Amino acid sequence: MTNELLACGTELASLVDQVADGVPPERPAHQQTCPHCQATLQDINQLWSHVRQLTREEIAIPSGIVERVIRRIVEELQALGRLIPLDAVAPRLVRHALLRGPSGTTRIADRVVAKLIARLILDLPSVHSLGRAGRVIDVEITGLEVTVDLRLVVSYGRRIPDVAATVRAAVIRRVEALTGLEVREVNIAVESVEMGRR
Amino acid sequence: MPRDDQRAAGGPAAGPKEPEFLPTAETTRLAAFETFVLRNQAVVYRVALRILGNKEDAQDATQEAFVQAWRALPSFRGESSLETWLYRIVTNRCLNLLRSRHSAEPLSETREALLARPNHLAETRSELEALKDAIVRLPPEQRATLVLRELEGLSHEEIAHVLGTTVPAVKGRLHRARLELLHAMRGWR
Repeated sequence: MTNELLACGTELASLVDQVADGVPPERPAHQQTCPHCQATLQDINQLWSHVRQLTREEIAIPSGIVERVIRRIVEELQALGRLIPLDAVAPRLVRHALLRGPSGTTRIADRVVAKLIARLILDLPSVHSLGRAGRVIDVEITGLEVTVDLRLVVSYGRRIPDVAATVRAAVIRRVEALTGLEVREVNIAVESVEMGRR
Repeated sequence: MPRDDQRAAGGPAAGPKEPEFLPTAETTRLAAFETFVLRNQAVVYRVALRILGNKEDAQDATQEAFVQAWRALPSFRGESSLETWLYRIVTNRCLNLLRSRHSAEPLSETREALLARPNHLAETRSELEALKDAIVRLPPEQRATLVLRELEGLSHEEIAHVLGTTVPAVKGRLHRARLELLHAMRGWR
């Protein structure tokens, strides 16, 4: 296939190189007038314009790559007995609050806080259910402060701003009472409204 | 109650001595490596996506490549640039993945299935999508060579280093890949 020739005897590969690498034509005078060369060059140029377009295409990087890589490495090092505290390496990746007391530390993971919230929300009649898309309860812990993002389905007939206020107050009250952490923000996205019981 | 604890957690100077929080050579190295991953993830992911053709595999290969880079870092001697070295790791990751698939399910079958795709389907696809498809259908070595040369702009010498082969071999593969693409793209029209 590499030595494929056009009807006029020109090597196809030489035309491809000409376009792709900017190599000067082997037989410029012939090429100018040859319909086979011209048609083929047109095809190649078109292909190459797509290739160039592909190099400029924006690619969205999936989130969490850095996180997962560092976690894997830390786990590996820990398995080797080299205890690396994640918070010393990458504080952004720490997913827990550390309460230091005189006789020891208490660690509260973000998922524990999320579970508390899930439980208390389902006790509120104005909330039909948790949302369905993506992370419905996202808890971010910074030091001893908590930020919460929630996605909810509200029961039909309830005034949505009131529901949000109730949820917000309940989350702040319960999380602060049960964990001793401070809730900085509760952001609520109402995903849908549903009739009837869940 | 949290207030006092917060201050204590602020840093080594504020609290009692906590040996686990003293930076060791390894934690310093790992913190630097995090920055390295952050800076290079776009390139590595892009290469993996072009060679593997789907996001899930590309993300896995990217992560694996960086973990492998961490392990290999102590033996990095600076014979190539750090970037070429990284290209080498991710490209080999992708090629190994493709080879293991290759033995699990014969490539000819996949190729036939792809080629048997009805034409009306092809017509509704943009030519750019058709090109991506055609790239993914190239044999793995040709595909990697083409991606590194045409999309990443590496030199023949760099590609030879990345793929552990010779410059003439790189040129040959590139040639075949370009011609194959041309044939494939003509077929779409």
